[in-house]
Amino acid sequence: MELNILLIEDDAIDAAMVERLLGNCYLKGRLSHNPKIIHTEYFQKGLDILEQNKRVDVVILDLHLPDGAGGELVRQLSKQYSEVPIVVLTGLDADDTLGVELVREGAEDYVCKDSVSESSLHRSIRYAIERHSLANQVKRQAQELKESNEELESFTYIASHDLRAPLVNIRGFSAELKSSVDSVLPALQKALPILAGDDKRVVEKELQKRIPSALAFIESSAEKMDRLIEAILYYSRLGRRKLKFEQVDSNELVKLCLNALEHQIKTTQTTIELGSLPVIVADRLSVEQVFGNLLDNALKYLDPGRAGRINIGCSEDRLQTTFWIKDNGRGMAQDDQHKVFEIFRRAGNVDKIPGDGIGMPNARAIIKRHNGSIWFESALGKGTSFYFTIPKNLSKDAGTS
Amino acid sequence: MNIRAKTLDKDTKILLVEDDQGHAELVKMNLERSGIENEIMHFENGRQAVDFLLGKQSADDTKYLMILDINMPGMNGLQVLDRIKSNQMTKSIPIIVLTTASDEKEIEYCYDLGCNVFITKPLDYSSFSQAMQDLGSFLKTAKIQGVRKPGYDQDNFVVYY
Repeated sequence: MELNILLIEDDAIDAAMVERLLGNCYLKGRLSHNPKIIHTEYFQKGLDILEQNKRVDVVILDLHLPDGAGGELVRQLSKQYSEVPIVVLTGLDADDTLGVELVREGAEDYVCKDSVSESSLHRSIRYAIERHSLANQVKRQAQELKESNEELESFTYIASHDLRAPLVNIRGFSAELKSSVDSVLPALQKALPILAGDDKRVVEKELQKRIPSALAFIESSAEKMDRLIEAILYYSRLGRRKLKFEQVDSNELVKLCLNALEHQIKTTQTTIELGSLPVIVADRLSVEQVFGNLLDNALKYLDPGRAGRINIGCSEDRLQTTFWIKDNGRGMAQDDQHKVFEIFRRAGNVDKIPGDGIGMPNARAIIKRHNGSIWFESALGKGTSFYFTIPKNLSKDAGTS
Repeated sequence: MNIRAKTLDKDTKILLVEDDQGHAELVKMNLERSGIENEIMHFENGRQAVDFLLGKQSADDTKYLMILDINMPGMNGLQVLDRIKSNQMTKSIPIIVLTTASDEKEIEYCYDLGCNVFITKPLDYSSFSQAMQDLGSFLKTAKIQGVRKPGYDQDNFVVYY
């Protein structure tokens, strides 16, 4: 394949050298075609050429040009034309710091004018093109992933929104129907004595039993569906909320959560052990939700057979804070454990305990958005320990959307 | 036009713009239940309602009041609101937005376009039914004080359930 090379170099001798080396690459069979070299002496002209000429496979860039110099050129070029790899041509024998800096600005490689050879130039160019195309592929895939995630989120939002409209009707008309039945019943009651035996039985059975029972099923199912949709909506809204990273006193936050649960703590006579927790940088509302969910669950799933004990603590290292909430509750069987973070799924031994199956998926989504992780250890009949980490590199005032 | 200043005249026609037949029926039933006897005309989409109001050759004397849904296929409620409120002939028609949306931005936007009252449709039917009957009483007596929102020249209401 023919290579299109844009050479931006104001020194005629250096330019001629590069052209000669590249020509030799072809003559000696390193390149299958004679490379097509577009040469210019000015940075701006180089940009113009890239603008007009979509097909440039690689840019060879000198850093001392009449209209600009230094790493800034690399930065500008790679920002504006991210799809084209850049190989920098330096005058001095570049030390490693300069090289690293150039690569950071967006160059794929650099070659020294003093020591460049046909083979080193050829290798630089080939690798630059290859690396750059891989990097671009990764970038493209990341972009696609982001888009499909956003699509999924907006799909969830729209779907749950649109699912509600027909539910309003189902609930509305079943309520209307129930009130219609209720209002004709007294009149029918009066007429019952004059109906013949079979008719009487049918009217009694249908109007007094079957219809009300059917309506009750419709209403309770529609109501349940409503709750599920509400939960999905809540979940998707949460994913769309912009996080605000700020200093959060986790000790204070946990106390707030415990206050909200005071009633349950008292009625279950649960002992709370709260270690000292640090100030962290995180999204306040998120962390509050995670602690709230975990504490709520710990209390909800206590073992009625023994006094409840919940331990809240944390450990820290250089990179992250790991929080835990350990309970001596009923725990989960091995087979149930995979359901914990799945939406709407719940462990098998909690049938009688109300819950939507949304708290844990939520908590995981929140922690993920903090680049942390959440996991648990559980043994049936012994208790469950939840752990989650908050990285220490979340910068204040920043956030992810 | 100022909703709180006068009660709903008997001959005011209520224009109900709602793409969902069922919702429209439920709104009607509950308004009637609250004692509203005014004629209620139902339009299944925004285009029909706009054509009805703006398509008139001469200004007619009939008074109208519009109850408007936002999420509709084709011309949506926001577009209807904009068309009605930006036309000299029709801009004094009070518009009550009645929709499932409860997004703050959407509410603000509706007011920017000139909506007079914004009601979020409750999903639970007993609240829905109550909300519609409240709206009926509100329209009949209209003695409820409106909250004047700064920056708006009309009296605006937001009603949440």
